[in-house]
Amino acid sequence: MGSPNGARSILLTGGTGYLGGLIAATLLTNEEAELVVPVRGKSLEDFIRPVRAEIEIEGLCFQPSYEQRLHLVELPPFESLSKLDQVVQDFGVTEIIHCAGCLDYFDSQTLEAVNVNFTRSLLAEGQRWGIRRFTYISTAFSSGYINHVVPEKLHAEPPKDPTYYTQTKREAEWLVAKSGIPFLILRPSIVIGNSRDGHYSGKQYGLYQLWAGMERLLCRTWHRDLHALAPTQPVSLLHQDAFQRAFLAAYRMLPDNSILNLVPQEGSLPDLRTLWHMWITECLRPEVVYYYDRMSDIPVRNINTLQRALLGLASVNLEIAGHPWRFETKNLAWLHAQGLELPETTEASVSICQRRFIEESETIRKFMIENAACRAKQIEFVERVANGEALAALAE
Amino acid sequence: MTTVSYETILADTIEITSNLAKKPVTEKTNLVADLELDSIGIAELVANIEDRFKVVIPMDQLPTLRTVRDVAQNLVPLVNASDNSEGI
Repeated sequence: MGSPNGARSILLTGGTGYLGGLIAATLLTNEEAELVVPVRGKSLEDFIRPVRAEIEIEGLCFQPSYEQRLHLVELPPFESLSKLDQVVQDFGVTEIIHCAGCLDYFDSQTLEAVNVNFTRSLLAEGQRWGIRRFTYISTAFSSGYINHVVPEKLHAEPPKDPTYYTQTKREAEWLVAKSGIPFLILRPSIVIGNSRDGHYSGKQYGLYQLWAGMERLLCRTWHRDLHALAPTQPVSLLHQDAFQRAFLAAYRMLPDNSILNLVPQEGSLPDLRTLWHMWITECLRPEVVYYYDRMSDIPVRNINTLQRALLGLASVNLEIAGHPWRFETKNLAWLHAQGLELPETTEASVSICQRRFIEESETIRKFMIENAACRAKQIEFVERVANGEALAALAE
Repeated sequence: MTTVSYETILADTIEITSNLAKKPVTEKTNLVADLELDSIGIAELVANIEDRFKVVIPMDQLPTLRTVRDVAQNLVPLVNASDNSEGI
């Protein structure tokens, strides 16, 4: 039996997550496919709310047909996915988009269970179901730390991984590619809010973890001086609307067994120091800022406890952001040649996201009002290396 | 230098954690599963603990802190190696 109305049916995992929700919104508005979404304890109404918001923010109307094409089913335990047999048969599912994943860097058990074991089980069932295409949402950093261009190929074991997360994503990519099911692997870099209005509905990962950390840790009281890990290394930030457009183009046009490094154009990307600078000048406004290139340069024992906590919290992401990543973008260039246009990530476009984050924060608003007299009119920026030696100092 | 016992450190850790999470806390309480602390919440907790005990918890220990017991156990050598332990 095929899908009830004869349209294609796609099984979408991770539909309640940030990227999964963006993919659901993209597919509902651009494809005629039925979406079968396995979830745990989520009502259709709760599922639809963020998806509807993403669609309406794009200036589109959430059509009644979208709701009719969404089918939420209970996600069984990973080891008994065969319980989905009937659903797959009833809806005539022929494709899987596997977006479910664990991002908790330090929860190795869940990383293994979700990123590796769930993927392995889903592929095994997919083979049995006769799935014709398996699209896997991985990460641009699945290569681990390598000192050459990240190819659009499967990766060998690197000398070092940023986290166990990247290791499990790399392992899952291999499982997908070796399953025998035609596949598409998409590797987005760090996804941030919409390029036009800055809205963002994801969890506090990546840049948002840093911003939220500064909000909750550094906006309690005003800090006279601030120590920041801020190498002048471009950060691979990708706006969510760029992710959606590139996803759709890749989904429609890339041939089977392709891997796409879904990364922004390098030329205009802000670097990590610029990202700190933007936040510091807009929000914190200390009198002196010390910039360091490496975590080991920072005299962590001698700095404010909350600043140290922030650096500890964001250390993994700051380390990832500080690595000189270079990506092969052959497939993206090919999609551009077919007419794909993506919003660029620039200092101006990231500042739209930052402004939205600040405007939506009661904590930051209160901090700015209460510390209006302290916040420095002019900020001195000092570049420092190990042992605290100042390399250069300049005022704002 | 006075040695600070695990029990003393645990009692202080429970108090600090409970104040932050605004929930009852025991030695076995899991910071994430029971208190729903996110990564920033755990960073706040670490900052409060460092302020109280006048120690620096190494960054590489942070991922291992799952329960209140983990925090207290990690603190014992740090507090007792610190010159400030008599003040606790």
